[in-house]
Amino acid sequence: MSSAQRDGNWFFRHWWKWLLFLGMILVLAATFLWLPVVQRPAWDAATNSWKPEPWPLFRIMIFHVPMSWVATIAFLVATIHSIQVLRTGSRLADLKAATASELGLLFGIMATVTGSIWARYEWGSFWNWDPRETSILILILIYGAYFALRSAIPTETTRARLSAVYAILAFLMVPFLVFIVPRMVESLHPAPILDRRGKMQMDKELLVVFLSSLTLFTILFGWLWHLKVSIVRARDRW
Amino acid sequence: MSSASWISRTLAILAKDARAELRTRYALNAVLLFALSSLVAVSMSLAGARPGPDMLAAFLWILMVFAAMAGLPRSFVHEEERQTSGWLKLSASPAMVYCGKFAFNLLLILLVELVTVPIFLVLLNVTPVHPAAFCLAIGLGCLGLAAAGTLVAAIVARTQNRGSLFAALALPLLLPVIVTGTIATRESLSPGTGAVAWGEVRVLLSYAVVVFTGGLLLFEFVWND
Repeated sequence: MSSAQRDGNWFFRHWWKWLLFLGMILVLAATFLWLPVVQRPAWDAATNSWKPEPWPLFRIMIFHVPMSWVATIAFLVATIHSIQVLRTGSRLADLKAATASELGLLFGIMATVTGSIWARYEWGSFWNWDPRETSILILILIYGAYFALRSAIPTETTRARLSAVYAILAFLMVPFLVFIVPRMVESLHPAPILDRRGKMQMDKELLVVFLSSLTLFTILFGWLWHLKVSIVRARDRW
Repeated sequence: MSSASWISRTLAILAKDARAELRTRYALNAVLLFALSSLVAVSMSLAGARPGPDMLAAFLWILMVFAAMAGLPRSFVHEEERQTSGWLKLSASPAMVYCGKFAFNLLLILLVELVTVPIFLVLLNVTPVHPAAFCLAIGLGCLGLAAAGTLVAAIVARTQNRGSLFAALALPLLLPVIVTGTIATRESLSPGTGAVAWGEVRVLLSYAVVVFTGGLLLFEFVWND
């Protein structure tokens, strides 16, 4: 095969990566250049009524929400592969679980940082012990402990089994984090995208950009995950 | 195997651990002294200030959790140190070992709380407004501590730096217990509230059940090679 042929194949084999790149640029451009600024109701004391007010802070949502979504997906993937480790003892499943946890931790930290910056300008301080801030902090602590545990076990099979057990035990905490932490404090968090009646609360343009961002970030996670797993497999030759 | 012999073997593990503990008093001494000295540190640094029920509940739970952390890892680490875990694997099934160790840890924590909580009440001059609800909150908290602590202790015993990792691994898992236990204790210390915070009691109980059951299912993977 000539090198020109190989290059052509290379371009077509990786078409979706170019698409991802293009999509990310489009989302970025649309967020800052194309989307109209969201209007939200604000109480006007002068006229005693609700009046629409421009709210430019909405832009961070297009990046912040996909990050916490990817972190959640990553931890779910890690748990599924941890169960697989205990069922089959597969080395590959252990690698996949550890890599997914790593990416989950990375995206979790990014979601916390972006949320914290947003909170500074919306609520007045970087940290407010909002239920969602608290539960993502606990998740970051748990997966930090997961990697501390992994680094303390030299034998590969023992490491795979014990860290899988810890990951599954950590997953048992999810219902408690979801139901208990919100009892501690009133949430300041903006309402979920879908309200109780399942009604969308977004403009069409905003919804399109937001959902594309969500999809692109999810594909990016899949790619990063696959890449990291392949790199380790190539390095260790298995 | 009949259930009678299952229970008797589990009790035998509990009795073995209790006897070993009474001979050396390693965990008991360490935990009791740790609890007492941190209790004295808290009450001295308060320097006569009179904190409200929410502060007191938080102090009590921090003391309880860290005292438990000083003692819980011993239950499995000493098997590895004396290289007796192999013998234990031959003579009992993983479920028996888990239940026996869980019972021993629960006894240890309850014993420690039985000493430290009254001293806490005396030193900080606290009267529980609802004594039954207060005891219920602490007792259920001990159940949760023992359930999560037993499995994490088994994991930690297999690692290189045994013991020092325990707090890092156990604390994030125990946060639900700490949060709910503190709320339940606060309610039992403040006058004018309902006697028992049933919502918190339910959460503490379900936490203990979920973690104990999960531990029972997962323990085999930690214990056997």
